Amino acid sequence: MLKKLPFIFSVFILLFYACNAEDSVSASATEAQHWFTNNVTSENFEVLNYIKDIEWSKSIVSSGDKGEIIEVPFTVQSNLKTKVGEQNYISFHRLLLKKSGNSFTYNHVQILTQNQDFDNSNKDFNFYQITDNFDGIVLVVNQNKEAVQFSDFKNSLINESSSTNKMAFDRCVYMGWLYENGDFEALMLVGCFGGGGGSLPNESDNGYPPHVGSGGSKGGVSAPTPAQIAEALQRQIDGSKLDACPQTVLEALKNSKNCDIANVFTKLGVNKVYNLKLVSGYPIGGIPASTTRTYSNVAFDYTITISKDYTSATSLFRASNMLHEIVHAYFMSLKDDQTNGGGSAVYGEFPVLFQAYCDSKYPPNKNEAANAHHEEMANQYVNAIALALQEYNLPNDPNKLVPYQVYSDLAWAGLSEAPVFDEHFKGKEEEKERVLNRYRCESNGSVVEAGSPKQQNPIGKPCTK
Amino acid sequence: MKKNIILLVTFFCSLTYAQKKATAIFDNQDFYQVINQYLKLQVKDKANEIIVIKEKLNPNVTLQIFQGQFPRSENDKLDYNELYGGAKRPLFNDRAFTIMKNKYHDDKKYAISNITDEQWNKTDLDLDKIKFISFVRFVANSNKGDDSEINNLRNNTLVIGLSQPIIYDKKYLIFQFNITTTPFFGFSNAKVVVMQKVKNKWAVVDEISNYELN
Repeated sequence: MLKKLPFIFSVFILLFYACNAEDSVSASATEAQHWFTNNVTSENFEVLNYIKDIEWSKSIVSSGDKGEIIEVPFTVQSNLKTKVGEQNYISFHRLLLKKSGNSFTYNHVQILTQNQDFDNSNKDFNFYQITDNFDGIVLVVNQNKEAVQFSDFKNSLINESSSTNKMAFDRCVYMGWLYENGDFEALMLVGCFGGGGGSLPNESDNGYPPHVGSGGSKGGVSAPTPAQIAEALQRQIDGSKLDACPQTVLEALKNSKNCDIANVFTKLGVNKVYNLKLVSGYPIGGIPASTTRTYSNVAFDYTITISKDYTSATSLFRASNMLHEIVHAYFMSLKDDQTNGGGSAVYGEFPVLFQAYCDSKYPPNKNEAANAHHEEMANQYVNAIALALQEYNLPNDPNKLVPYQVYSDLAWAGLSEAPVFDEHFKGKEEEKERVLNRYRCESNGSVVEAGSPKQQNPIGKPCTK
Repeated sequence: MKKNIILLVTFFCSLTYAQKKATAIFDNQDFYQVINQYLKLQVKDKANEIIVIKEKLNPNVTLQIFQGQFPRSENDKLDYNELYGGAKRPLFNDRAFTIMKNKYHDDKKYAISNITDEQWNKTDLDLDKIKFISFVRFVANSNKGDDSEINNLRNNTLVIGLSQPIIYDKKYLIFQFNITTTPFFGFSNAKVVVMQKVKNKWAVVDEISNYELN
């Protein structure tokens, strides 16, 4: 027994120091954990929706000129991936906390690499230094979902070779689901970046520096512009489950030169990428098209159903239905934004969604009537859709002989459920009839109210199958 | 094992018995009374002709609107219907809904999914000026769009679609009652009406809107 004493003593000493060292780490980390657990929810930090496990015991504490930084590795649900441009990366995640008064600022760090052996709990890879031979991207997103750092490293130095104008557009970072068949479904657009890296928008928040002697942070890093978001959203629209003709219509709308769906999004002020798919099916009530949530408990994911009925409709009718529903989905995303994804009983009520759209530009003001901007917003909606329809129909009307009014009438018909429709056409019965009859005749590809002053002839081509 | 089988058989018998009993508590007249009472409430102007969709609307749609967009679990959140439509609890009762669904779900295929092969007759409804038109004609599935009667209908005429009432939880009758005006592109405000007989008169218990946005 006596012989074993030195060994037992050594083990005890080792354990003692190990515990003390752990304690010195955990003192700050424990405080951060306590604060974070009690103050941060998925409502103010969206990534919490997707977290599987926060590894507080592996917290990394580092100190330097920007004070003490606590990094906590966490894992996300297994099929949640990050995609940069067209490239898939293995993503490692950390919470990044820094004490500020009695609370903490918190960010989400994503370390994106193709090195499967990267050790996310390595204390030598931290806010103030990175390890040797690191190839990959460090992306830091703050609680407002703004990217505050995007650094692309090659051999632990900032990768300047990626600094091209083309990359500025292609390097949009998405988080989303990767399905077994390889399909990637983006849940959120993190940001679009150009060049090898840089900082945004408050440089004092930056960390993860390149090794000494690097080229430094270069390249135009910027938050995505509205046009980039609109483009990204347009790319997200999945029409693969549509019947042949509507699928062709959707592709044509997406590929219009001057006034595509992205252009409609830009005009209406879209500022977020969400999931949107169009399918052929049978909406309730026998209507031409409808929009719903795709899954229960998942916000920002919508499905548009284009009716398999209306078998005599023109392709212009289908195009107007699609644009109308695509805008509905956007209105739903506004409502999801306002309610942090909680939604409300408004989904079946277009007027409330239209109000959400108006409120997005003109927040409610007690000195103004709720409908103060309805007419202006309706005109914005109608113009955006009408121009897209006009361009869609250009192959059938290359000289633009069809009056713009035909397209704006189709767009107005989409608003017939909103109070603004009756407000706009109050005392204008003839115009109202013209709008309704335009929609009618395109819905079945036939002349309506033939021989009467209200007669309207379809201008769209049949959309069969 | 034997015990389980006996329990299962007892459960099945009690379920069947409950359904039979439920059917028995209403007579045939109730199904028409409930529709007509609601119809008269909704159609204010009885002088003008209205259009009624000739086919009885499909009970599957009634069940779907009543349930909401997604199948519900018994412990679903109280605000389920705020998000996904459907009847609110406690009106929505899982067991009663399952019984109703098993009894009335229609597996047949029709020309369009919103209809059945049963039709309304003039004698079923207590309004004088009714024109019956097939839903199929409206959605141009049978006429290649050259249906002159449809194409020359005047705008702003009332169009109504009705389903045969079905029994829910032994004490309610529920049915689709959809109303819109021409030009007709389906019922954008489809809804299900829940009614209960109180002192020999049918009273509206709830009206459940479609959860789809159109």
